[in-house]
Amino acid sequence: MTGTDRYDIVVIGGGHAGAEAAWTAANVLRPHGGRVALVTMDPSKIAAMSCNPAIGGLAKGQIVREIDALGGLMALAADATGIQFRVLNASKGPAVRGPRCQSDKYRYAAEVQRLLATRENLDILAGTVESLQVEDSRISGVQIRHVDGRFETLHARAVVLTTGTFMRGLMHTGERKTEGGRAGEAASVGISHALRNLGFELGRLKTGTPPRLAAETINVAGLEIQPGDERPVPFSDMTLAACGFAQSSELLAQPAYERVAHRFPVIEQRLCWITYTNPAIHELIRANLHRAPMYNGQIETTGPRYCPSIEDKVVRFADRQSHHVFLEPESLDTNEIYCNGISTSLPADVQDVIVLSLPGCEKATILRYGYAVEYDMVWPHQIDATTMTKRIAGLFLAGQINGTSGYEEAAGQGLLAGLNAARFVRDEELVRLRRDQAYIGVMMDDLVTKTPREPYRMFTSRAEFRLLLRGDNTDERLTPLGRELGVVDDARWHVFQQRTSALDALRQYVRKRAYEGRRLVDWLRRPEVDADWLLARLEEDAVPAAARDRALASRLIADEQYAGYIDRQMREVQRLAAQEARPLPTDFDYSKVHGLRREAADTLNRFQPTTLGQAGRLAGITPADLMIISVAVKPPARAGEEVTP
Amino acid sequence: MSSTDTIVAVSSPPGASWRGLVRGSGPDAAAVFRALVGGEALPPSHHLVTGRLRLGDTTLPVLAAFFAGPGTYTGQDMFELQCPGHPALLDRILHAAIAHGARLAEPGEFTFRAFLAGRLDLTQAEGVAATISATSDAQLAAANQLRRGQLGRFASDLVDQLATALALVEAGIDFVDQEDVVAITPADLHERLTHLHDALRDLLRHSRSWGALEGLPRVVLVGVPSAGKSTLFNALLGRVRAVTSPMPGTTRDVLAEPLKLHTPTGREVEVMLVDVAGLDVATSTLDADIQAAAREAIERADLLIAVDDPTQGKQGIAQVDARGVPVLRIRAKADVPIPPGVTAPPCDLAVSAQTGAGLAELRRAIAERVGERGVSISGEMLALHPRHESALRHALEQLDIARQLVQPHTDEAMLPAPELVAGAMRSALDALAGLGGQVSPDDVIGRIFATFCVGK
Repeated sequence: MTGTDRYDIVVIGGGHAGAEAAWTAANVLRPHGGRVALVTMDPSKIAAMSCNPAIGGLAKGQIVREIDALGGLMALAADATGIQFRVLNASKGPAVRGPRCQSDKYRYAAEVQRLLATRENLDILAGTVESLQVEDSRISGVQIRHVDGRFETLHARAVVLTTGTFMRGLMHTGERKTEGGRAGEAASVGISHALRNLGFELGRLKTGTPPRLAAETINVAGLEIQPGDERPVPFSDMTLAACGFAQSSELLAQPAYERVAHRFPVIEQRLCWITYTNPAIHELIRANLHRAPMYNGQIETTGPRYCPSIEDKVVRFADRQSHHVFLEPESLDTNEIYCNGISTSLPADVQDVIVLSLPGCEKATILRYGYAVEYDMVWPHQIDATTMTKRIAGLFLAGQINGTSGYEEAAGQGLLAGLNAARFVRDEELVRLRRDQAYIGVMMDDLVTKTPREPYRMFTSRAEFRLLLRGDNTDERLTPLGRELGVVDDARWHVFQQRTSALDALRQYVRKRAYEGRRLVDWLRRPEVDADWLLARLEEDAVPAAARDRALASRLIADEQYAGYIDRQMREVQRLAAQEARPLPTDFDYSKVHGLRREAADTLNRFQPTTLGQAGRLAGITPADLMIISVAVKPPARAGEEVTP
Repeated sequence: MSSTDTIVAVSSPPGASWRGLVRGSGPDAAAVFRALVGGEALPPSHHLVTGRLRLGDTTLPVLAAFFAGPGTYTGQDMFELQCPGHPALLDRILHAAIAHGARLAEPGEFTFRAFLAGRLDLTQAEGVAATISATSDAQLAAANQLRRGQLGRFASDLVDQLATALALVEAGIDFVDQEDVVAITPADLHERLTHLHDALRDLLRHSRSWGALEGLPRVVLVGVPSAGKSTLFNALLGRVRAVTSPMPGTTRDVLAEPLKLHTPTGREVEVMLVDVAGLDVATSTLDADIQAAAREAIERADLLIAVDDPTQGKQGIAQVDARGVPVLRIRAKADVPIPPGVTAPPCDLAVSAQTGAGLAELRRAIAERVGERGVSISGEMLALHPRHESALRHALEQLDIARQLVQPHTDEAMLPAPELVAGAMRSALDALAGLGGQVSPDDVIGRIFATFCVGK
């Protein structure tokens, strides 16, 4: 039996990219009566944490803050379900501090599902997508197979594809191979074929996950403890406001904010522990390398170098006697412990011995064995930095399908894809974030101008404007834009305005007031000065209550300490601004350009950059090539523009 | 390739020529022009005026013009400076312009700006592309050649060491939560940065570029007009640099080139050989300026070579006021007989640039007098293109910034602001890309993975 239904946007996949895409698309279309469907194999697994039960970290934490500034859901869900909060690099400069939390993975998924359910124009459908419907190089819908085997066509004007590790997913544990995208879940085969038939060039990547242990079988006595920060800091500006000036404010009285509106941390906090591998374990791994899919030829695809399996570590760093293993609780409600540091695809019997040889784990039971998973992806030069494919209008890709890794990277792309899909169906110009504007912008630009050698993960060193892209100024960078784009609601906008005026008041105060004969602002550049120092020097009633805030004080200090460097970076941004956004056509034959070097033409033909800025960041493209392109290539006509034949 | 900044380039053909032309274009053209030529007020637009170009502690007479946009080739404010077509001098003007905020133009960039300003129609656009492509091909070829050469090898080595050091700093930022990553200590980093800084500084010191040769002992040729100074200048250098002609006053400006010599102790050193205008009676303002420049050159000399030409029947040496500077007296044109009735003045050496007679003795005599103060050179001296010198200087400046940021913390275990140090190092690395190869952020991350066991 075949039925049909009609949506504006269909999001395929319920991982971190899919959830964020559906949330954002539903938020943008809500005032306009637009409808969104999220299709996933098992709705109870939406926003599952397939790998480590943590959100944020270095550069990733900044992405979570950016998502929050743009009205996304990841920060809210992380704040509501975090069981340990820690700021990494806390002793270094504000630009490189990365907020991170351990999450209760079940509560996290449940919170995301609860948030999605608050959007009445969003339907969650259980099913598998079998094919994409395309008319005149424009997406028109998808065909899905319901759990009961029934087929249905969903008409849609835009489709967001977030397949994660499910596209032809193949899991490896030693010699045992299982088709599937995640332990216990089936793979998706139809979409790979559909994309190939549409002319997309697909690749294959690999990632892995460690074994999970039963908490009650681990003896933590004697293990090194890893606690959270004494004063935990939340991800979301809304949580920050709820702990501060907006306490018990009406602002937060809506379902989206109800979990973070009353206290922080929201749920019970937990400790993590650290144990170690030893030479005996390394010897065992070496003796069993012929059974490791990564080493016996069973897996040929590339895995991430920043997330090596334990067998990789032992082989590549043969002289090391020991590696850390972090034991992290996965939930307050279950006994699962995540073994951070021994991601592996070795056979189960070898994993057993490895685990039993770890101090504290002598009697440990493995609840689930580690595995490696290979999956299909679409080489990302085939999308624009908007996440829309260049080949099929209205088809958007986000997350691991674009060759990235990590929940935060996926969510950032998902948000952008949901936003742009909504703009696409409303005939509005699609949005790109600039490299000087957001880590999400850096990521998208890297994806479309470089061929990833491994799953792409964000690092602060990828951002040339790192000092501008701080975690503490995401609202200033992105919230006004988000308001304009319709993803920042009234409550968040009000919070933003409150914080901005409080920061201004604080800034004026330190410029006017003196301390020990010097203006306060001059003190702020001294290394020993921190937020507490500044707060202690604010006179009673001199600044509004909202300005008496540690986060704002730290931010003001950061602005002052970086001032000279920021000015220089801003000048560089302005210098490059003119060429950056100049559009280029994406169906252009560069070999016809007179005077353009052959190598340059080949690169440009492969990547088909959508802006002159992107073209300039392709490997091997010189300033002279860019001048020739600007002379020879006319920008594509925009809708409504007069064209001459 | 932005058109919002101010660019500058030599517009005369490469190599030595009679007149050199330096052009600039962009929003700051007026400011750069004023900084170079001096004066608060700009001259009337589109008028050639005489001025004095300020180069460090000296000035040089030039013809200069300012063109107010949009009625210009590029549609922007532009300027032109005309001066002697001496490559080292033109380099120096470019560096001065860069120091005042301009940047070196990319090949074909003036034409490109003219295109952006709508100065060229579409049929001319293909010509523009061809121009850009030809100049850029030549530059790419030159760059490739350079990379294979001594400078290229040096720069690649420097880039490699710098990228490794940067990887160690970035590892301490991006992988602090990793078991194996130990951030580089400030003391170690300081040592590496100092080493790189000094290597780069020494390279610049020993490169054949005007700025770096300031410190060389100056050997100045003086004498009456047409005494044969320029011919001797070329003969000593073993190549044609000065424009020579039998017309008096051909050398209207100061010309200088490094001269390689062997000292009596066998060291290979360089001194600066300077040729100045003939000391004559000034007949115009410009001539007066030129002669002032010549006299200044004489005052700064470490050795004067007084060139006399008794074949003309004149004795010019008496006119030279040596002001305490040692003088070596030369009889030029030794191959030409002295007219009867003229008494040859006393001289230390007789030289013929035509036959080469006496040249070796002259070199030895110079070496004996100032050679020990010459700057030692090893092997082939590097000749730097202004683009490369500017890149090397930027890298040096950034390494110095990085070093100063690290310095106060060398006794501490950890850098408090590694992101600022990394920023300066990244900037230095990018500046060296054209010489030693591009190192992308991904390459730096790759070095981290190769060094540390990263990953939980």
